[in-house]
Amino acid sequence: MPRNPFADPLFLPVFLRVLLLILVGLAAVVLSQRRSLRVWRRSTLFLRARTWFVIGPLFVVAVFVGGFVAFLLATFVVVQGCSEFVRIAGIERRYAYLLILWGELGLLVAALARDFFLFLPFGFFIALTLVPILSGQITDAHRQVADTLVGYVFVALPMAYIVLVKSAEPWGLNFLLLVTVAVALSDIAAYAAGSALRGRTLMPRVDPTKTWGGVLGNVVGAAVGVGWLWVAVPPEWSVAAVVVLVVVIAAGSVWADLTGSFIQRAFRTEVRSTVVLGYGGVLNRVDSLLMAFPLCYYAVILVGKLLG
Amino acid sequence: MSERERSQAARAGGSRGRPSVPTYSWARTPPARLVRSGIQYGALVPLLRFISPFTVIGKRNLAKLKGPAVFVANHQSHFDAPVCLAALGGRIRRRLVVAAAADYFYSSAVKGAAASLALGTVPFVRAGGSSRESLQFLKDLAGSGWSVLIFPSGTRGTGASGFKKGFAYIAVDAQVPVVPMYLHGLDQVMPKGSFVPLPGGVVIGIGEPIPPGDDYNALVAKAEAGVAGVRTVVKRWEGA
Repeated sequence: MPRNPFADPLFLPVFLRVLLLILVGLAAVVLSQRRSLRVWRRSTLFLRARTWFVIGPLFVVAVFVGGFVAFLLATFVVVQGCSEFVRIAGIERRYAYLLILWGELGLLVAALARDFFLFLPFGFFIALTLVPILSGQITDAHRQVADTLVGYVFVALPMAYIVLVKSAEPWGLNFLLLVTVAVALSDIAAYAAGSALRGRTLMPRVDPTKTWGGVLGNVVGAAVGVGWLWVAVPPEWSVAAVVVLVVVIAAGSVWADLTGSFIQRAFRTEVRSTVVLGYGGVLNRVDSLLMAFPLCYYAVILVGKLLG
Repeated sequence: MSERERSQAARAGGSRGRPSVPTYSWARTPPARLVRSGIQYGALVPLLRFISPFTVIGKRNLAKLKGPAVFVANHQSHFDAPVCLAALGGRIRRRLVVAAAADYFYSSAVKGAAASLALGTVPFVRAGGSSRESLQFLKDLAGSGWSVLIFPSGTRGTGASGFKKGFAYIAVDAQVPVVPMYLHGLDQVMPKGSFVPLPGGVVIGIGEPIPPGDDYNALVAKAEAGVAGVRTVVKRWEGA
């Protein structure tokens, strides 16, 4: 059921911090772009800042309200993200529909029937293989099944993880806020530091634009993100857990960048979607979060177990 | 006899007697328009924004319209008309009819009534003797203040050229401007032969209104050039 977000003492501090962060970012964009207002308004940086101005507060409100509002947001990400992956990979429509449907089912299972969560990946594999078996169309079926599985693990399953962690862990909401804001800042800082510092490329064959300067930006951005939302760090977490979280967020963001890059290169395509102004597709905006989230979750769990 | 005079002569002939093509006039009465507004604002537009989040380029061109217009666009998918309606906004949508293929959308009474009520479509006979009557009906609507949305390629997936002249007859005879539109991305959302949409972003470009003039062929050429021009803008924007 949806909740009144103001009833949660964490809502206002987080909402205001996110809003302030976006305003500071907007001001930085304005100051860095010494151009006429007309040219500036059409720049990608302005479009990105404007997009953040909308999706930042919307995201915070949706996760605090919860219920079907958060479910709608998650559904949008799954539906659009899977559709974009389908276009990148050239997946046939019947596999595409199954991917989207199973992605939606995953959200429901994560929220309402957690006992069956572990069955989701294997169940998807069974359902996928039934497509060529029942249709009798086996030409290229192995590639379609494999690519659809990659799409599931890349987009739909991590989204189900986000819903699972938020609903199952007592600190799930805090964790989601921390990781989302830190991953976003890590990406932005990587872009800014990569442009300013340049330096040697990290993996030139995989992504010729990713530099060591960008990696430094990832680490600094993740640290600033977690520090900025310190109010959301659960009191029972140790300092070691927070440090590990920062490192894993930065590493997860770099990994997501490189993986997204090699996937697009492998399929020799770049889908120019227009869903998120200034960023192109939904996948462009959420791939780092989707890949870093499960990684961060297990890192925190592991640190908790190791330190008792 | 010029083409325009021939068209006017046909109009005089076509207005006599009972129309053989149903006009679904009840769908343009105030109560039906109210229901349509409710459907479009409450369900259609939010659903479209969810399935196919759309970006509209050139919306300021609509502010130049002071009365009805004929909107022409390339045709890719069954989603074209709803997306155009959503992109044009409430002011224009309120008094706009969509020319819909009579043989497809009006093949049954229920289907036709649903399309007329939800989207404001009117049956348009694409071939045969009744097509002139359909054109005449659309001209009459344009003359009485209704805008018309029409896909002049005639069928889906034929690109942004090879426009048929029907829209020019409406625009020239009713003396209303033609507004070129270009729809990008809907061929991937729901291409011909598909009945379930695959979600994805869409861009809609709206060009400057083209004055009708008095030459049908010249207007067709101008409209094709207009749609091609909007396509260039959309492609440039998308690649930015």
